[in-house]
Amino acid sequence: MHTMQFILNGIIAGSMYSLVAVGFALIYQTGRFFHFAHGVVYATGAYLAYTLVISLDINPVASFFLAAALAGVVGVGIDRFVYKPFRKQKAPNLVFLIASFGIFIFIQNLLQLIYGAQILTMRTGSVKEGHHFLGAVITNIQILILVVSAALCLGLWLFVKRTKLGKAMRAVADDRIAASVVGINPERIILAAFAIGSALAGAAGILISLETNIKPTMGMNAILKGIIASIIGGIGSIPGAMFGGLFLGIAENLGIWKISAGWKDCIAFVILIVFLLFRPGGIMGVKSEGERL
Amino acid sequence: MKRLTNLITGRALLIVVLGILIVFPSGCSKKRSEAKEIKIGVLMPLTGDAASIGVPAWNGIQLAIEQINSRRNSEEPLLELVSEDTKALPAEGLSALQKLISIEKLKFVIGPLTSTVTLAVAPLAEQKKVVIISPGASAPKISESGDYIFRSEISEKLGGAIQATMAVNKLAYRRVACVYINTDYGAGLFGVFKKSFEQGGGSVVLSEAFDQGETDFRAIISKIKSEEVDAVFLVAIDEVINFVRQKKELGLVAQIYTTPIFENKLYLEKLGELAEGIVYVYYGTYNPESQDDRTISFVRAYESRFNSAPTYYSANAYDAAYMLYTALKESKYQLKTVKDALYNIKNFEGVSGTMSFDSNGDVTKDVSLKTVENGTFQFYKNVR
Repeated sequence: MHTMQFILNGIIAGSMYSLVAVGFALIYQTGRFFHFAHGVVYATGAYLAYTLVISLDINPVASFFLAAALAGVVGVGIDRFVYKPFRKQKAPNLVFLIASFGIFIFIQNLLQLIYGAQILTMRTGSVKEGHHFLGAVITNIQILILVVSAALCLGLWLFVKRTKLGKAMRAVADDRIAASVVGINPERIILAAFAIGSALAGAAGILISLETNIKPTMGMNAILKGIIASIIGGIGSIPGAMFGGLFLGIAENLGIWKISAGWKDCIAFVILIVFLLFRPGGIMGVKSEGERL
Repeated sequence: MKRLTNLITGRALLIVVLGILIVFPSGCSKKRSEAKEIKIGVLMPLTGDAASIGVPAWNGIQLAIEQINSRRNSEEPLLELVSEDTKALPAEGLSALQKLISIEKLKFVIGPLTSTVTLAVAPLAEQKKVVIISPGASAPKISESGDYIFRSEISEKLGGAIQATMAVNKLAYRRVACVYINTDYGAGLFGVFKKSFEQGGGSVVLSEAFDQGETDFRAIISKIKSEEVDAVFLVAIDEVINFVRQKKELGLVAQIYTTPIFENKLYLEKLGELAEGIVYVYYGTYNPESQDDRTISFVRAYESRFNSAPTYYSANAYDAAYMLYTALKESKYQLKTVKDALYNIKNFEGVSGTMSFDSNGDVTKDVSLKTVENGTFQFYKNVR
């Protein structure tokens, strides 16, 4: 009876990890570096939605799309003004990682400066007991979160598999130089990956802000779990990132049930280490570079 | 080469001249009083996970010091605040204190607010003979952390024990689940509470720790649902909001019994009617609605200065600043004897209650039960 509730809790938490992870995977695949600042784009999405809905009183559905699109713009901005100059200089990966930490801290502090350090909440109206479903309880907002995140992940997967731009992304992921030989401009593809990936992170931030309160530091945990989800799913793989997120969420919640809540993060990192040691290709068993996206 | 030397000499001269211009006026006025100004450091979580309790505390300190400065006579030195942000992180707190000591050369610090940071900075303060007064650290371990470490918050060794006794005797809780923040404060309070609660005849059927900043409590709440409990003893800061909401959403019916941190208007505002009936323990006698003259003037001054209502920690921090001032005055501004003057403070009447320091630098205060009724914080009446 209770098992269902823990699994459901895990799926809800996991769907957020998935959404951050797929965007991270997309950017990792095309850009080939750890875009750590992806976490702060997630927080930015939540704050943008807050501004649109609460301060400017714009329709919530329109705000969702607008805030996600703006998060995409933020991601593109980060790429254009920070990463692109480094790419031109052919800077080593470490430089990208450090720059990415720098942006993370910069934007996080900027959010704090603008909105203050205290928590903000977007949800209004009274809190009610959720619906009972197969022995578990789920609220309307949680159903919304599940449906929207599943649709976004699926949409992204179809986009990468079926569309021309998606194919070009896979080509760049496979071999950047060969792709440019056949007329694909890698810079344009990286730009598109940043736009889409960041919009997804923004969407995750907006969805979570419907459920809990938001604060400037919320991005750190999100990106850590997103990266873990991405690695245990098979780094760079989009379905992998999706399943990795769900797997991580469920494992954490079952872990809290059977062990203790204090072990939550420990469980996540133990899973990461186990995967790195025994199945470095992740759930999807990613082997070569080309198979990834 | 010669040009370079000339350039350097030129700049050096300029710096010396500027230096004299800056130093000279202050050198003149020094003759009038012994120490023209005394710098007081403030270590508070102004950003990060504990900023919602840190900023009101910092405001309380500013208010106290501004009042003291505006009322001082010409003999008394000006008190100047130098604040550093700890982000409620031990490493940040330690480097902030290092900066205050080595660059600002100061001897007194109000803060840090949280127990973990206070424990982290205590050895350095002790070694450098810097007096620190924490307005919020309540972990039992702080009592033994050194002679220079004071606090205007009561230790959980006392508070937690009373809290547990009240739960058994006054609220008649027998079976509780404990959910606590995994910090020195949370773990310390949980330890004392569990021991005293079980000694009093109650039983702790479940205990779960969570990390500072956690937002997802569904698994913990689901776990509590499978146990029969009278109440959930919750030790949390901002996490209380998500916990209470998710408890409602998951349909857990259990009384919430929490700590003085809960008395924060932000939580009332965010929780709305969900806050009704939450019982918490309250240290000291600070009550913003009190008709007591001291409280009224404090609340008015605070509200007009910061456009927000003072919290429990604003009062504690305000008192900490006044106690430091009292000790400074008692020691006739002989900085080395301020520590001893602090130990001599007995029955200090602050807005947060009447306090005396014991030999560990801990204070004693009244402890009472409070609850939320009709959207306001009230003293708990239905005591059995």
